Amino acid sequence: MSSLKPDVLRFDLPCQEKYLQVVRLALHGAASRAGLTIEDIEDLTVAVSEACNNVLYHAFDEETLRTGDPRMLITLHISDGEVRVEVEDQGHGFDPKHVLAADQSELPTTQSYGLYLIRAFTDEMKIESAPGSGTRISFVKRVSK
Amino acid sequence: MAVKAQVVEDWYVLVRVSGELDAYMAPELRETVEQVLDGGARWLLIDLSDVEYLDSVGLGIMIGAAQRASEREGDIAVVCTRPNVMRVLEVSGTKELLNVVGTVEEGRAKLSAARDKAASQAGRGEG
Repeated sequence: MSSLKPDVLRFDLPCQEKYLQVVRLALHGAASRAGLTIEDIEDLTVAVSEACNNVLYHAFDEETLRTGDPRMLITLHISDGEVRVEVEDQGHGFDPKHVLAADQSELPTTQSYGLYLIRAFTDEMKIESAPGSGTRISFVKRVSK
Repeated sequence: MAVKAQVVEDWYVLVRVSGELDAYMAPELRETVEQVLDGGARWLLIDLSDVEYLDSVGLGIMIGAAQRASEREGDIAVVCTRPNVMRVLEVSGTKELLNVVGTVEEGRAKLSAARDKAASQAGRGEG
């Protein structure tokens, strides 16, 4: 694999809990191609699931989940020794300042455990969102030294 | 995932969970735990020895169970043997709150000690 140009894998999935295991299985296979250790991959698996949980529970209203076709888009950038992940939705979005303020407390609240775990289990994390404009959570996991 | 609950020794409920405890499977655990607590149980031992994966949704259910048990002066303990599951409990800072132990026997002992303490405090309160 070239270390300059990452392999890009895209998954466009229905916003449904039953596909979480599919995402984890695909991620497991893809991340092993980047040379991550089993422990790195397990950390990344939790991070990706938590980002998907964020879409499942916070991106769309009940009506859209019941009658529409809301999607979660997962993009993996696989390089030597590194996996970069983006989890996106076209939901109602939120003001990241509110979430980040809660997320940076020393002990997470029940609601913020998901973002807290993404931050703890990855090397970099970024949230891009605005009310009405969907959300993109990006993070990177590098191979442990 | 499978969730099985049984009353043990007439005073605590052992909930054995197996499989992947994620947002898809967690409702099964939530339903079982709610039934057990609604039935009046105060002492709960959740065995995650056969759980291969845990995330914040499963964590939230166990934290909620601990809070409900505590409200009625009971408690819960959680058995965890898998390193990846233990890591989620450690990193989230919930290991102490959930009384995480390595075996069912340790969990039973932990709950038994908490039960004795609660009985002793209740006795002092009455005296």
